[in-house]
Amino acid sequence: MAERNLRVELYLDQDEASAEQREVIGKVSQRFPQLEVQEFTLDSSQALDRGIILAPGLVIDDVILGVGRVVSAGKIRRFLESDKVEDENG
Amino acid sequence: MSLQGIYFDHAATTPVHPEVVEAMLPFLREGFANPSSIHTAGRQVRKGVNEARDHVAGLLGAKAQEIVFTSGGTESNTMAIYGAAFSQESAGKRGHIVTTAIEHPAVLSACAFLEKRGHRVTYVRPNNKVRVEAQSIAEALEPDTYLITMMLVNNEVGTIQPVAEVAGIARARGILMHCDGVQGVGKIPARVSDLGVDLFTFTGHKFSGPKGCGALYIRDGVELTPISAGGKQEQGRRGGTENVAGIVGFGKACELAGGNLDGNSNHVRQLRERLLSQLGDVSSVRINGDIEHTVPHIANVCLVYVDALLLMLNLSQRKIFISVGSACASGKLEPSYVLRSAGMSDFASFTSVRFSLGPSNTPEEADEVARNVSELATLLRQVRTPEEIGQCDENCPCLWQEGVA
Repeated sequence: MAERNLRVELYLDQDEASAEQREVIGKVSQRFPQLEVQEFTLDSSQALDRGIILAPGLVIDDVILGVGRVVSAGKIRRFLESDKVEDENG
Repeated sequence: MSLQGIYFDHAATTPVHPEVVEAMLPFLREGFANPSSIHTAGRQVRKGVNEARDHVAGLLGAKAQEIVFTSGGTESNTMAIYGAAFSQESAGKRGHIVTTAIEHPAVLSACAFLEKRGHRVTYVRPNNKVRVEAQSIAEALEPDTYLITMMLVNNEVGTIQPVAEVAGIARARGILMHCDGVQGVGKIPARVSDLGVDLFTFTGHKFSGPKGCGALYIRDGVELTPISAGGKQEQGRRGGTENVAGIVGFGKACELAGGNLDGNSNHVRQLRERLLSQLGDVSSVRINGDIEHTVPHIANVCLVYVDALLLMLNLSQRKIFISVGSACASGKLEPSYVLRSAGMSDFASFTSVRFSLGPSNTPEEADEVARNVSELATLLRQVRTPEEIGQCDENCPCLWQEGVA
C-alpha cells in the first residue's frame, strides 16, 4: 500500500454519476488517508490538459482511471495496491 | 507552441514539411496580391497558383484544368455529392445514390442531407475485414442510380477499398463515380486513370501539406452544379479568392509525395511491423481489418480488455499521441460506427486504438510506443474488468475467428 501522499483529481458535472464518484472517493479516502482529493469541472484548464471530456473523470497519481463512468471502490483499491503505485513508493 | 513527444496520429493530420513552409512563406509576405488581378503583382501570384495546380494534377495523373482547389476534403466531398445531386434536381429529377456505411462523416452527412430533399441512398456495409465488396455495390444499384460515392481508404482502419473495380461497374452503367481519396493520396499510388473515377477528393494536410486546402478532381466533360456562388475563380466552379499560400503549399506537398512515395511507404510499413510485433509479444492484440489490404501507415488494433479511451489518454500524458475510433456524443462514449458496421462488437470498438505513422517516425519511437502501450495495458487491465467494459461477442470477427471469445 502506498505511504506517500497521492493526488486524486475528480472531474465532475452536475449529474448522478459525478455525485456517486465523489461518494466513492470519500469512502476510499477513509481507508487510504494519504489521498489528496481535488475537484475540477469539465471546462477547467486541468480537464483540457488531461483530455477529459466526460464526467465523472478520475485521475490518481497522474494515471487516468476513469472517463465518463464511475470507477468503483474495488477498482480504486486494486490500483492503489498495484505494482505501479507500490514501485513508485519505493 | 511545440509538439514534444511521439506523434502516431498521422491519419488525423501530419506535420507540415519544412520545404512546404518555405514554399508558402513568400505568398504570405510579398506575394500577397490577388491572383485574379490583372496587374503584374497579381500575375506573379497567379503563376504560383498555376504551378501548384500542375504539381497537384501531376500526382494524380490528371490535367491541370481538371483540378478545383477547395478548403479541404469535406468541401470537396460536398461539392462532388451536392453538385451531382443538384444537377439532377435542375433536370427536375431526384434519384438514387449508392455509398458505403464506412464513409467519412463528410460523405455520410451530405447523403443524409440529400435524403431529406427526396433522394434515396443505399449504405452498403463492409465485410468483417472492413472492406466493401464490389459485388455488394453492384447489387445495390437501381435503375435511377446516378452516383456512387466510395472512399479509397478507410480513415479509421486503413483498409483499401476496391474503387477501380466499382468504377468499372459505374462506367458500364453510365453512373457518376466519386471517390473520397483523402487517406490514400500520398500513401499509395492513386492515379485517376487507374482508378477510373469521375470525381476524386483529396487534401494536402494528410501528407505534409497545410490544413485548409484540398482539391476536387473533376474529369473533363463531367458537369457539376456549383454549390457556392461568387466570382469566376476555378473556372466558375468555386467562387472566392484563392487561398494562395495554402495552394502553393499543397502543390509542394504533392511534389514531395510523388517523389518519395515508395520510400515513405516502405519506411512506415517497417515501423508498423516493428510496432505490431512488439505489441503482439506482450499483450493480447488483434488487428482489425485486413492487413494485406491496408495502407502501410495505419494499424487499428484491438487490445483485449484494455479500455481504449483510457489507454489513449494515458499515452497522451506520456506525450505519445494516438487515436480511438469511439466518439463522444451526447455526453457518452459511442462505439465506432465503422467497426460496428463490419459486425464487430461494441467491446471490440471500446478496446480498439489506431496507430498511424509518418515518414518522420523512427524505429526507436516505435519501440517506445510499444513499451508504453504494454505497460499501460497491464495497468489498465488491473483496474478494468470485462464486466465493466463489455465482453467478447462470439460473432465479433476480430476475435471469433481466433477462438478467443
